[in-house]
Amino acid sequence: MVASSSPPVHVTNVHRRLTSEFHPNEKMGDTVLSPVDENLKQYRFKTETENNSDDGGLQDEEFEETPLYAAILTYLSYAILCLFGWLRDFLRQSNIEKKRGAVDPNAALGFVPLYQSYESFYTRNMYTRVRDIFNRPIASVPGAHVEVVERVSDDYNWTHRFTGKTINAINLGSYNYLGFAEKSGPCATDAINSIKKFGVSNCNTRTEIGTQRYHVELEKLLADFLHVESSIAFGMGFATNSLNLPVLASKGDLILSDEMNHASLILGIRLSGASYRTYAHNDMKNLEEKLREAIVHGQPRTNRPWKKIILVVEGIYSMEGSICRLPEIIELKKKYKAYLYMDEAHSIGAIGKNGRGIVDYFGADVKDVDILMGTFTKSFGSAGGYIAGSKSLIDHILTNSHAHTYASSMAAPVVEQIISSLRILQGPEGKKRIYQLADNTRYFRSKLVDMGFIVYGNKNSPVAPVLLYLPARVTRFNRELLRRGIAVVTVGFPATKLLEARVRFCISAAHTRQMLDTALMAIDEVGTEIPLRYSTRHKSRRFREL
Amino acid sequence: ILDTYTTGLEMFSNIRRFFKFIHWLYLQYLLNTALYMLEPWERLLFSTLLIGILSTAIYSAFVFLPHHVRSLMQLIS
Repeated sequence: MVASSSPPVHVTNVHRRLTSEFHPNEKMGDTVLSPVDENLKQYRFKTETENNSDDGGLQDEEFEETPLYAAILTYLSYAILCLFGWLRDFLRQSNIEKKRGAVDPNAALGFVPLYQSYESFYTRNMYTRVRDIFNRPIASVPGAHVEVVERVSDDYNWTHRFTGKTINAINLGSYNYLGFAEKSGPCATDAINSIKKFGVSNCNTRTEIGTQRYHVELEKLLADFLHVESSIAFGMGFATNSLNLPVLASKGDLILSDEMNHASLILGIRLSGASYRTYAHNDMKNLEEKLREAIVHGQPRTNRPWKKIILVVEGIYSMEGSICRLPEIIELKKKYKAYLYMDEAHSIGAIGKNGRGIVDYFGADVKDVDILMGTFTKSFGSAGGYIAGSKSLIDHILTNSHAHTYASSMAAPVVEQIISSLRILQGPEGKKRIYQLADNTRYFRSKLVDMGFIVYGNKNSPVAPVLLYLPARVTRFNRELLRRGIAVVTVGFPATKLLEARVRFCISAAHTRQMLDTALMAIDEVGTEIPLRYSTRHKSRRFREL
Repeated sequence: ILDTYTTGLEMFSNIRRFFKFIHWLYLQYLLNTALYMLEPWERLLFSTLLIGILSTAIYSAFVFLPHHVRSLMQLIS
């Protein structure tokens, strides 16, 4: 049990009711959850945008259920692909057909194979068939338009060759939320000047003659921007999560993480050695249940109290487009004395009136979130990650984090890009970009929803996943859109659940209304040809009728 | 009757629309059964098997159903 001030009577209450279903009507002491209706309201479809209700409008999320025929057709498709996969594997095994995948030469010499000498079944037989829609190389800065390198395959995507041409496409796939990915402009000029002044590499780590003036400036600027005491920046966003969670948590701690958390968070949690539980996505009832259960039962075998409990959430979940319920989580954390680690990789800069992320979006107190984490890759057009919080926290991370003591320090142009984009963000130009992004987001999402597509997530999040379900429809959609000059990112099985293959649109402040209209017309056309309008809650309409 | 005949020119576009419709149906068949992702010989194999099974079923129905239905009626009455 965390050192809590709650009297023992609450503990016995929970113990008795642990096996029964959690009924909000029953007296569970003073739970922090709002009554059932308000929670249900957040999942109900609203036709008009709520301008006057303060909290209901911010958390307006929709996750429509999979239609039955789509689920059946998806399973049928995968069954047929599986059958043909077995046939092809048999042909390859019996040497009727040549093996195209990687073959480990060690096996022939009598050694134990060094790596898996064949790619897995799914990769070989389903992914490789349509590999041309994934991992496309680009040939320009990924701004609002991007040059996609055209490639052609003669042997069904086992090998590609470049035709030498590039396709100019509207970029709906890059995490360029504020449009800072540009090759000319104040940020680019600053970055180039910094190379002339500082060179490119620092040839050392931060702790050994690798800290430059601009590192200190970046950390101070970031702390001022986020209204926290102090911050620390790292060279890689993934490493920020996976190498700093072990600093904060260790054996004897409990980490409660959302089930849709990113791989970097999961890796960091596993690496730390702490015990962890996952709770259903954005489900505060489940989280509270698990918290109470954990506090009551303590550590697994010894039943000793947990040393500390950390809640790990993300600001915007990139595959779902949903926003975490910050006010409720803060109430929960205050009640049960847990710590909050918020990963704002996609939401910093992109959400909130001043671009300060989820805390700004909900108008919460930034001191309530103990550990703020974010990346510079998405909204700032650069690379790297940061952690921000109180000075004592940052000092602790400074001395104990491997990502600080062993990773080479960030290069000058990378840091200068962040510094100049932060400065722009705090000025009028930045406000213009934030408003443009919010406007684009609301326009694009509302048009998609009105046309009858199933779009997941919060209506204010710049990440808009549209569900496509069937693998063949996903590939057709991707190829047809590229033919019409729009580059999108479609994701299928390992990254998402088997049934829920989707296309993820990332809207940017660099997109003009005209570009969005072109994109919407193309999506409308392709979505009519392959029927992709699955929604039963909204009527299907053509774009010209809107 | 007089105002529903089509001119020669409209007949062309109607035939073109009809062929487009058949092409659209074929595309739907390919997409919904994931044959769109397979190689041409695999599509041929699957389609041949499917048509074979379906035609056998339909032929058997044509040949045997009348007799079966008649004997069922005799059994009931």
